[in-house]
Amino acid sequence: MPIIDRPYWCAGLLALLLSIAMASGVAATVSIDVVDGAGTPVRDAVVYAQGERGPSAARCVTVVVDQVDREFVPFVTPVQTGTSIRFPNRDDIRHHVYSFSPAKTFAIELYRGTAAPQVVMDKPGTVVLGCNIHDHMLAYIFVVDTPHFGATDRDGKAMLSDLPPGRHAFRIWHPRLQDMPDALVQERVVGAADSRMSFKVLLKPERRPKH
Amino acid sequence: MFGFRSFQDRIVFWFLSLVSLGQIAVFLAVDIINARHARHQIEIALEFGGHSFQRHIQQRTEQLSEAARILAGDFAFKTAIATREKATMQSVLENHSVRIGADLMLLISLDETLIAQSGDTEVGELTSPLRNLIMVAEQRDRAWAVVELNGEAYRLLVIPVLAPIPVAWLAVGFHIDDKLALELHQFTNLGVSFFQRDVADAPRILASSLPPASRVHLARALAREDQETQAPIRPLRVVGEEHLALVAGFGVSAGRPIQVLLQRSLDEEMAPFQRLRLIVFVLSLGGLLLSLFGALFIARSVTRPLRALAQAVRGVEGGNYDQRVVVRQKDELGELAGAFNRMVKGLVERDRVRNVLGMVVSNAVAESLLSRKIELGGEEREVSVLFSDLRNFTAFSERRSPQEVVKRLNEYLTRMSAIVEANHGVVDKYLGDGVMAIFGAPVQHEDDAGNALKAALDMCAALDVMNTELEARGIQRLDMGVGVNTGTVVAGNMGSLSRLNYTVVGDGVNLASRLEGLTKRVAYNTRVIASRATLDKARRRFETRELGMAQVRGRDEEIEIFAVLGYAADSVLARNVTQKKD
Repeated sequence: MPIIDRPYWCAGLLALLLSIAMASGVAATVSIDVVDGAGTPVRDAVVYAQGERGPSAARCVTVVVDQVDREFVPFVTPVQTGTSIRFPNRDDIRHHVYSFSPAKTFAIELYRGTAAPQVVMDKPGTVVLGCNIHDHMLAYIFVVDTPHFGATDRDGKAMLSDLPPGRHAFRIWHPRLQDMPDALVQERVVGAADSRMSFKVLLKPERRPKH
Repeated sequence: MFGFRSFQDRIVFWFLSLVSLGQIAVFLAVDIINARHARHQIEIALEFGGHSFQRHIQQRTEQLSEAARILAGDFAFKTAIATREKATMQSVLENHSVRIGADLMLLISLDETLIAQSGDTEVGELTSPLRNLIMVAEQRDRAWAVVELNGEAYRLLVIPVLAPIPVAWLAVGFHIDDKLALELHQFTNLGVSFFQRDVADAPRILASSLPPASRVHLARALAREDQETQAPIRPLRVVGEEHLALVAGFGVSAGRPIQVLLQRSLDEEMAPFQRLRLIVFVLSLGGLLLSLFGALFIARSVTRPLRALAQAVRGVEGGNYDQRVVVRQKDELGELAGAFNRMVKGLVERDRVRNVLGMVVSNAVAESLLSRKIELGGEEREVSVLFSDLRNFTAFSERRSPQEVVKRLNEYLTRMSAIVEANHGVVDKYLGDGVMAIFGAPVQHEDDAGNALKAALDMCAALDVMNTELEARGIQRLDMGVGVNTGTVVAGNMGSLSRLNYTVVGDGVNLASRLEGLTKRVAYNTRVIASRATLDKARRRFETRELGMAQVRGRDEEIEIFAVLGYAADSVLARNVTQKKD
């Protein structure tokens, strides 16, 4: 299984990346606010920055998406390409986690506890998670090929740290985002100092599968 | 009004007119009520059919919707879709169409291109109605509409395939085809058609339970309809046959509404009543015939006795009393016939009485009696009274048989009576062989006194003739005396109410009798003696001879009497005188 081989391959990439960061010597933090058309803070928005040097190499980390009280937690999980996802089941019933998303199609049939195999997100894109026996259960894994990403909290705030100085394209994604290409990307030169920026997005009305 | 020549025609005419009027009224009423009932039944059926139709479509939609929803949630289905293999997906759709009983299934990507489909209709490019439907489904999770695909109408449901967010659209539908129409027809028992009007309002039948020829006619009927003023339930004439139709909207396709039309023929609904109508008609006809016979019977029962009566009356009019009308009925006509018969009998009786009366009393008295009201009592009249008496008739009788005596007497009295009547006198009574006659009562004539005298002379002459005959047979001659007096007497009906005589009483009568008695005196030598009063009254002149004054029994005064010899200046008289001298 390639999945088993990956940590080693990831570890190499990670080492390379660290050396680059250290070489530049400086890094900045950008605070980002996301609001909707009405100025209300938007949570669960993914913000990520891509530098001029193109996509970063995959990172071999493991991220957890829990299943608690028949819900996926968190609702939106941004990860870098190469990230492994664990789906521990904290409920006392079985779940059947699946995704038919082109970015990653998989299914972990009815299981209990933490025994489920990890799934590696090897392509950037949106992976929509569902449970075959609980139609209302929904979660997103947003796979980006940059290490600089974050998800907004309930106040609509996210923080991208360790951004190397230089020009970055800041992008935003949300499960209910309406198409508006100009507003979804902001080019910015990041210096040594911390800075702030904000996104204003329009969202489709929330419609989640019924219980 | 209606100049009928016969009572029978009149009765038959009115009878039949009234009966047929009544029957026409009944017939029409039955017809109208039936038609109204049939109409009402159809209206109920249409309303019920409309509800049934809605419910059936609703049920079918719900069933399909439920099945489609379950199908879209099926993990294997989603897995198959996730393969993105066109052939696999096509196959899945075909399989699942059968599973849930859908006529058509489409799998459409989120960017609205057709991924795969099942069913007979090749869909190809998505039409804007379908896109609109997807748009609605996007907002409401599911959407229903009638959509025209490649010229065929489908009722289509669009739902998302959730994994767990929409990953594709699934459209499931049933075909609005003849099969559906027939199915609806089977449980509504109504004609079911789906049609759509084009831009020019020309109707196009999309599907129908009707045979092809009827669809063409229906389309024509719909084309003729004025769409502005249409109630939901309305009459529809299809090839001369009247229908009631319910039209309701069923959906919109290509901007033009698709409508469903439920219909039932009024004639078909009326079919059971046609039999009733026939029965009523036959009964009416039978009733009419019966009333014709009844009318004829009743008319005849009146006209036949009437005709018989009329004929009998004509007979009586012509003097033929031998008439009897036989009517067996016991009603008014029977009474009339009875009365008529009694009347004829009465007439016959009266005639006979009149004849008998003429015999027992003189005709003049009889007539007078019959023509006037008979009452007791009298009036003072001036009359001439004549008494005659046969001489030596008693001696004649003694030698003869009673039969012969009567025969001779009758012969004699008949002749004498005839003479009295010929001279306008009335034989009052027979006194044995004597005769009492009255002139001037009850009917007055010109010269009654003269008549009396002439009668006296004629009687004598007649006796002479009779004597000649008697002598020829060798029988002894007879002689007679006549007394005539004129005076005021009381004339009238005398006796009792049950039995009375018309006669005269008074001194004048007695005197006449006395004068007759005087003729027996040989000295006078005459057969006829009259008083002066008579001679004075008589207008005609007679040859007389004065006999001077005579004392009469029962009278104080003497009276002047004359022998009447004959007619004045008359040759007959001369001969009489001569004969008398013998």
